[in-house]
Amino acid sequence: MRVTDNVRLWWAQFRYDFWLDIYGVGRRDRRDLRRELAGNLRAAAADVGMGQALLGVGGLRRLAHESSREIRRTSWSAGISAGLVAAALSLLAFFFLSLYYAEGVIDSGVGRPVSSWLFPFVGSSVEVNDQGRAGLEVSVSPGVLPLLVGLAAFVAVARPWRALRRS
Amino acid sequence: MAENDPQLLKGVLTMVLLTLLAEEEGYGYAVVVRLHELGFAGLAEGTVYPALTRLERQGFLAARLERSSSGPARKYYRTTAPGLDELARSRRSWEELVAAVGQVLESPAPGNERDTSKTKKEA
Repeated sequence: MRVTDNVRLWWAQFRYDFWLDIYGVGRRDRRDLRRELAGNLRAAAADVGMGQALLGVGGLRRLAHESSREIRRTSWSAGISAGLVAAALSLLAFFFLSLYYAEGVIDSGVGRPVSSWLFPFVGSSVEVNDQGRAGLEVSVSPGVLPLLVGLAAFVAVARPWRALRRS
Repeated sequence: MAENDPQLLKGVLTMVLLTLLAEEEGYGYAVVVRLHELGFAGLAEGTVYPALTRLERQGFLAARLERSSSGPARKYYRTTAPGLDELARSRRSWEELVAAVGQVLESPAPGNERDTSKTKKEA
């Protein structure tokens, strides 16, 4: 096989493994499925060429989905990662919204402490105290929304009900 | 063979795979090639490989790894005893279905009857 064929084969295995992981297939099953696909792709490539071999297999996401129907499990690690990323992104959004709010308070020159909550961060609070030359005090509390967003992402990705169904 | 209907193929794929692998063991791509030679030209590898995996998990196929000179070991499948039972069951269902569909297809269609009588009158 040519170098380019080996690269294409490696890339196909990588994507297949990625989707199998997303669909909650364990490491050992993933390795077996990946090796089997590589063996079949090599045999097909020797017969019809790597391009045609990959075409025959079709979308690797669909293949991973079909191959993992009965071996999907709860993917705790992927769920935790997704939950942390989602919570961090919503915290970042809250941080930028708070800055925008503080900028508005400073521009208005209101001269006294102002506090509010920021939509859609239910339960959040932002207090801005512009003391002119003496400085600026901003205190923020993001509320429960980032936590809920993180939890929702965790549940969506980890699919914990699979663990319940198996037990 | 004319282009196969994917839905029809999906319904009989289990039976076809169990039959082929009862006759002779084979690995994924070899099975696809055999199916193509038998006339299932439209059957893609992406349909056959997951079906083999599923049948193995259900216990209808057994697998063994064999070293290959061209890369990773190949996984050879063969039909197991429960697979043969499943094959017998699906063959019975298939024969009943073919008989029932055959009866429907052989009975004259209402449209054709009308056309025939019209032709007779005209004559």
